[in-house]
Amino acid sequence: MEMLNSLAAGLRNLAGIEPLAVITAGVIVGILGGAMPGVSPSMAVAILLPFTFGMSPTMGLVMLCAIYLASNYGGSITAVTINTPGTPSAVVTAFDGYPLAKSGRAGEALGVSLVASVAGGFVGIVILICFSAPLAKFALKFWPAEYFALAILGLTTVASLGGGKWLEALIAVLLGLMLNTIGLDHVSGVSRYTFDIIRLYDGFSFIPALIGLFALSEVFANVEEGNFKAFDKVSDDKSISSWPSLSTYLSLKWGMLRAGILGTIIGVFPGAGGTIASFIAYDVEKRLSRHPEKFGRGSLEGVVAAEASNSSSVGGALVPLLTLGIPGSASTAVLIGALMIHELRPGPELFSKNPEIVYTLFSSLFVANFVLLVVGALGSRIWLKVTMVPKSILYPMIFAFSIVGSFAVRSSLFDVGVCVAFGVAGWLLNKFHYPSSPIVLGLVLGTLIEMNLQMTLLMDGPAMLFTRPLSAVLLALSALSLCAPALRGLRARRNKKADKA
Amino acid sequence: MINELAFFLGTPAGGLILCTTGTLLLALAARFSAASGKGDRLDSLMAAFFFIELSSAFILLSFGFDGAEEAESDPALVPLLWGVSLLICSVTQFIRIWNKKDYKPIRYGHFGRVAAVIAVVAVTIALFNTLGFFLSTGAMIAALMFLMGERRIVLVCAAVSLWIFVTWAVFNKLLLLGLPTGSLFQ
Amino acid sequence: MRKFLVLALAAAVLALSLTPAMAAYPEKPVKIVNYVAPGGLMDVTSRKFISIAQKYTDATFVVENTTGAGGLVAIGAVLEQPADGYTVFAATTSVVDKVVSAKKNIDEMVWGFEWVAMLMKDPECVITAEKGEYDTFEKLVAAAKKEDGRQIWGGPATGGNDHIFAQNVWAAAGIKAKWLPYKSGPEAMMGTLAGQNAAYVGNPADTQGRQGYKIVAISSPKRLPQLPDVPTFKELGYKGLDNEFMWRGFAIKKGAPEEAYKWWEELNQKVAKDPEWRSFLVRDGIEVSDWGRDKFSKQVEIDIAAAQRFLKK
Repeated sequence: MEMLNSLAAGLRNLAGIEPLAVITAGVIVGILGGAMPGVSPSMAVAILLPFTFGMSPTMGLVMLCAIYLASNYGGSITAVTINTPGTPSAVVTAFDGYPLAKSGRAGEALGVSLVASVAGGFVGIVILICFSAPLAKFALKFWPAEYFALAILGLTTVASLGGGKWLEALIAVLLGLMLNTIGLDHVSGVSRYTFDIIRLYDGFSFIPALIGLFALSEVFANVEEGNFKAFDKVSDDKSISSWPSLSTYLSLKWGMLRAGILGTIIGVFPGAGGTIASFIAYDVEKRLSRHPEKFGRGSLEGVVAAEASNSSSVGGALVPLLTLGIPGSASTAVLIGALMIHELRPGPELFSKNPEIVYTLFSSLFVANFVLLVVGALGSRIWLKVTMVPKSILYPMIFAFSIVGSFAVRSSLFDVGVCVAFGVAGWLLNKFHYPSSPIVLGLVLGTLIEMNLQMTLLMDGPAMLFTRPLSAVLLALSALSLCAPALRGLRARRNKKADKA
Repeated sequence: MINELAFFLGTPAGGLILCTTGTLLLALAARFSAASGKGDRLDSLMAAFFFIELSSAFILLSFGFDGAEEAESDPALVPLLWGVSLLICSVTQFIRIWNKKDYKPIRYGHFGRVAAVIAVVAVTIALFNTLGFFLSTGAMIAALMFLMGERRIVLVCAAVSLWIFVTWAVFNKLLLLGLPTGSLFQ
Repeated sequence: MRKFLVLALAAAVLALSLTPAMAAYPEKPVKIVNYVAPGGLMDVTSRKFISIAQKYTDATFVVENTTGAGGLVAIGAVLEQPADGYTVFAATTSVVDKVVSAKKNIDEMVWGFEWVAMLMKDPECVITAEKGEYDTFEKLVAAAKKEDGRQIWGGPATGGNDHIFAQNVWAAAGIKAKWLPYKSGPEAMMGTLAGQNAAYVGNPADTQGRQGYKIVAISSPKRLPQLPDVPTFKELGYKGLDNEFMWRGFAIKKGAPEEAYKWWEELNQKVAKDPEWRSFLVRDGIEVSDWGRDKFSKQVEIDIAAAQRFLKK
């Protein structure tokens, strides 16, 4: 059990006021940064990168990882309370978290999201420590054909996002996919639909679009209904601050485990991150749930699926970083930068030349998760108060935060305009019964689908999609997943006929 | 021929032409639908028609990508895929609403209030670079609070001051991420 | 008497207006704009440069990332700022290539800058999988000739300097091959390891810390002491590939005060001599450079010409 010994040694490195303070500071900053819409996890890590120069490389890395871990949770706070995912990976959390908050169960949503994040985080770390080598080998088998098939599988989750309105959901996802083609084509470099606007050359900046589509559209809708009393009616009710009981958490444990494992595996693939993981985990949990109709209306299982998977993807993203020296996500790319500035080389060399750094890092991830649980629980009481702020103050503040957040991504006023435009569009679309969550799915998956399709075509042609076993399996799964609801409907009708007979 | 037309429509001038033509066509379609007795679901019909226009525009523009011939991969393949699919879906949707299948009416509320809010935000963005970040967002918060019925002046002033202080401290001092102070003051 | 007073006043006003209006540059934080995301190559380089520069100056630096379109968005953003020398663009060869390949206005987007400081020259090289079939350049070329245009070379982006270099190599070696653009360099390298592509085009630093790669050829006039086993293209018998490199440097919008440009040129010279900076770069086979406007601008001209030749093909 050499690994346990190394882990224990790593843990000993962390015993002390300074390391614990560093981890706690990282967790607090991560939660705040994650909650702030417009500050993505990679941005939070990048902004604090200079502060780590004065520390030893190990401590610097420990702090940055704590920030990365905590920011994935932090995004769920604003997702639940004001329908504004603080990080892209918290989009799916908002699907069920916000309805829960609207019906006065914000405390349950926040509590479940915290515990699911921590549990998912643990699953991710354990898999990272025990299975990184085989996982890395598996990742190498993922060629563009497989990425394409995986993205198509992700696309089929649109079926679970539309409620009953499948045509509207389809239109919405196609809209998202189409909007995603705006910009310079990654593979050919050709400018598409940009009307010579330089700021559009990379397409719509994702975070401003997200903030607009979720937060602003919701505010517009509420202003239209004059609905300023939405939360206030339950503000006196004690139940708003009721935390879930231990039995609630325990009843959700399998969901946390499943979503955690799924999130880790998806996080391993560079280019597929917490956001995609959360969509797929959400879909899986919905299909396995005994109450699928509650998903999208306030299902705790939905929140669990989203949060456990996006937190476990952190562990997954660290796999290619530590085994191949390749970043599994934007935030791990910053970590590589941090390592390089400290004159360390990311990759397997780190294991052989500086194993103590790696094992201290692993142990610190465990510690950071504990600290996250504590800090998060303490902080949740504060977040809950947000739901009780009068709308006449809250909504203007949401606009202000949205403007700051959209601007901060690229120091661009154009992005602020994009945010507001998406807000108006989202409000109008929702009004006409078109759901906005499929639009996000299309925006998230669009580039992945197109780029990998083009690369597959360049490499060997379309046949490759079906001759490679992995991609064929994934495509078959996608077809099945699309047909399943129709098949179920057929079987139900046949059963009804049999009953009548 | 269609390539040159599509390329021209992809320029800013062409984009303007597309928008105006689209609006005209929408108005015509509305007229036609109302005259055919579908006036009660005009709004949903026009929403579907908007998608028909959008997807058609995407398809049309995809023939005019500059540099598509020299590229090794086809940059119009995937946009066409999505565009055509959206066209099919939106036409289906249009027909379904026309025949009143599964139709749910649209509810309307205080449209005027939303328009006022959008206007305030738009003005704020327009004044961003002249008044600077702090002043314009501060003014926006005050204006929006009034719009939403907040009349406690002290609260408004407190909220605005707190906002300016916090963002100034966090962004300009802590993160050194410069927020524009406005050309009026430079 | 009055005339004398007026003259004296005029003289005083003239004298005052001729002295520099402000104190020495820089007196407020200098913003460095990167076109890559945090953690990207030039981002790391800028941050490292700043931390070393702090030994030679009290100036405050702020690093900003404005990503998009391979650098075009960042160029646009920097050119919108006032020409006061406080917004500095962190560039690499790829960005200049991108301006050319995207057919943007070169006079505006490249020559709207003064290219004040070139920090380094990073030699281009061809990398393959160590345990793969192509562990020497000759094997790679032989296989390419057999596959007659179906061999795949990978790298980040289309139209960047790696793509242009690959085209030059193919021309010199007399082979045809396909270029497969990935979303980023590391992903392309993962593809090489997995066998998706036969070769990756990049720089020696790309292989540091990562296992399983072999540099099969490097573009350099002589073998590098840091990489004694890597043959140069000249040794292998291919002409015209002796000095292909990627540079990294800083550029400031034209029209800024002369002292801003001079300050950066001097800072670059000081940092170029710094032992910590040198050791950071030299171990990867990178040549430290202290070029200022004259030589740097000439290099940019050469790169533009190379990119334009590539476009014509």
